[in-house]
Amino acid sequence: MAASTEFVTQITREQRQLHAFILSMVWNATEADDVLQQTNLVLWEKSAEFDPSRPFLPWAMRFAQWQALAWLKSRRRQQQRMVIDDDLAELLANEAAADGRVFEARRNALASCLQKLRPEQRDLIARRYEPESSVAELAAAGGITAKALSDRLRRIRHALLECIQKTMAAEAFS
Amino acid sequence: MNTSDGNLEALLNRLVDGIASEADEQQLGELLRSSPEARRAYREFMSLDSALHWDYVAVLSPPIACESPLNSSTTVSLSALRFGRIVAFGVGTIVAGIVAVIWHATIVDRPPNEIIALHQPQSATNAPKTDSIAALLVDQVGAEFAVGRSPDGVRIVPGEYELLKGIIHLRFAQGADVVLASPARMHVRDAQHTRLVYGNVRVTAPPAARGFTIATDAADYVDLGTEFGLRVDPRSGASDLVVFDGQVNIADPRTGTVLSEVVEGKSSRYVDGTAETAPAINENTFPTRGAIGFQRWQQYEREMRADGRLLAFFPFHRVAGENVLVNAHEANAVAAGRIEGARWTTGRWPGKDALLFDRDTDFVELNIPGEYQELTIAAWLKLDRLDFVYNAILNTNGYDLGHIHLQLTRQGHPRGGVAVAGRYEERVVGNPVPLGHWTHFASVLSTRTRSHQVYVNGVLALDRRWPVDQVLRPGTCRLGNWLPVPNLGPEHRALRGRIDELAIWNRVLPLEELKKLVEAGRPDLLWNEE
Repeated sequence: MAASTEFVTQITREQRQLHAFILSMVWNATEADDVLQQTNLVLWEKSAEFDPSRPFLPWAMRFAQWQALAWLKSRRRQQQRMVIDDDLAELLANEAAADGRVFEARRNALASCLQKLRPEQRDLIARRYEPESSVAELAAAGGITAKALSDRLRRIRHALLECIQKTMAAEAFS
Repeated sequence: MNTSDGNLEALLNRLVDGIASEADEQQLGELLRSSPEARRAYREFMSLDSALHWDYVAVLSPPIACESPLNSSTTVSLSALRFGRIVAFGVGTIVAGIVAVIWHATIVDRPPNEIIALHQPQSATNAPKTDSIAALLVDQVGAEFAVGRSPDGVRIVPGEYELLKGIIHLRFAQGADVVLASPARMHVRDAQHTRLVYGNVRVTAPPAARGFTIATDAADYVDLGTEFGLRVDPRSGASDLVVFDGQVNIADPRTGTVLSEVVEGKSSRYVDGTAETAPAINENTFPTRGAIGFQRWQQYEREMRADGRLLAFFPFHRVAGENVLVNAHEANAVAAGRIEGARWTTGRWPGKDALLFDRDTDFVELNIPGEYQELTIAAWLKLDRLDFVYNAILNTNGYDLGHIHLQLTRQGHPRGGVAVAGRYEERVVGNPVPLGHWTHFASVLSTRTRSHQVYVNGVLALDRRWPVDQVLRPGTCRLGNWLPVPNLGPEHRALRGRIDELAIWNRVLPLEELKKLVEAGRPDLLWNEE
């Protein structure tokens, strides 16, 4: 159970990437939080089995994949399990694990892209991603439909994705 | 994401916003299975959604004034979207400015506490020659030097030094750390050579300082990148060496010939260049860097116990009844805390206790009765992890007007204040709190200025302001946890880490006083560099 400093550093460093992958499995950010915590516990228990000469992320991603699948099963999400079957889950985990550096670069780009949003755009994003927030609640409070609110969010997300793309492209040539 | 693929993007938006249909989901499965490009777009979209969820505070950073907004037609009247909650945690207009704050802690720009040179005329110090500084005095506790044999400020130039009282920590120019306990006398020759006339010293030499030599009358000790203790008896002149790590070569002081090699765990005694049987030596004979910090804190603890302006002071000393956290303050206005689950462990120094919180059910319950206009709450913490959306340091049980919260977000930024009716404004500054390092938190609440500040290691990290009057009612609180209210914010807020010391004042401590708390309680001078 005694984990090395290096192991603690690794597990801390890869939290965001594990969360992003788990979210792509469970589709709900709060649930992804819970699955991430469970994954961390398992990683902690398995720390003695980790071979430090091998990359950490693919090893950790495997446990995240199993935990997410177990979560879907325990929640009786049959429909979602049909969409994300074992093969697709493995494919997504492998590709996410291979994408580490790009992930970091995109996350850095996002920080500057958020700064470029207009105040009202930023405010809406903040409300949407506040803990425990939901589109349905927000829309009801604002007197609009969930679809209308989702459309507004879609335009902001689209702008952010484009901005990240442009930032990455600009950095590639600088 | 390939932005020409508007259908996929729209589908993914519906998915994360919780309004996707079964047909949407099926279509997504087919796309992901058949197209690497769709999987890449999916991965990028989910990473964005995860990052926004994870870093929602950063979203609120103010825009860069000179840059134009992104090309999107979205406008939403946010007044219509605000939540209707009464209390202020988790609500309000938050303006978070993430500003990098560099914790200033270089050796030279923070002089140690005042050093006493007894009856010391200015001209009698070892006057500095700026080109020949061999070492810097980086830390000390209670140091008193003999007349004519003291450092000039923090500068150690070649010359004689005699330590009458206290412990000092010197860092030599090539990296060797030397901790010297009184009474001791030494002659510093240069950055790599020092003669120990008598006294106890602990040396830690990194590879850059390989060859660092301490000479004695009995023998010379050449460090080969290691840690060792050395003591020279003032009467007999015998030199005793204990090697804690690595290797030390013992050389003849006259010829330089290597007499013996002493490795980790071994000890030796030399008298006049001749080996004798080494006595058993306790490692604690040799002072550590931490010993300086611990002694400084013990002095501070004595002062705190008698400080009439304090409400409570929990120094975190383990007592026979292990489930009691003693309030050591003499006035005793606040009862002892009740320890539930949290376990005793080592604190900032060996021999100093702390409580470990590492399970969801661990906490200490305290009762701080009464109403207050001002409060300052200060604690030393070493965080292991931030497992939850909010991670409690000290939170009032439940949630009602006047209750207080001091916690950390999962991103490592402070959060909390007092529960008030209506909205508040908040500014978050600085880097996230580091994990695995002893860190000082101070929460300053004032109804007069209607504001709350959190300082991390004496640097502002959170500033929250509200427009209404609200008296402070801390009441029954949990240290390291929160007794939740159903359906009010994230329920699980258990701390993962250690707490060593908690002090509460019924007044606002100015920043200078907060900085003194950090200074008095820091594990050692170099702790924040590690």
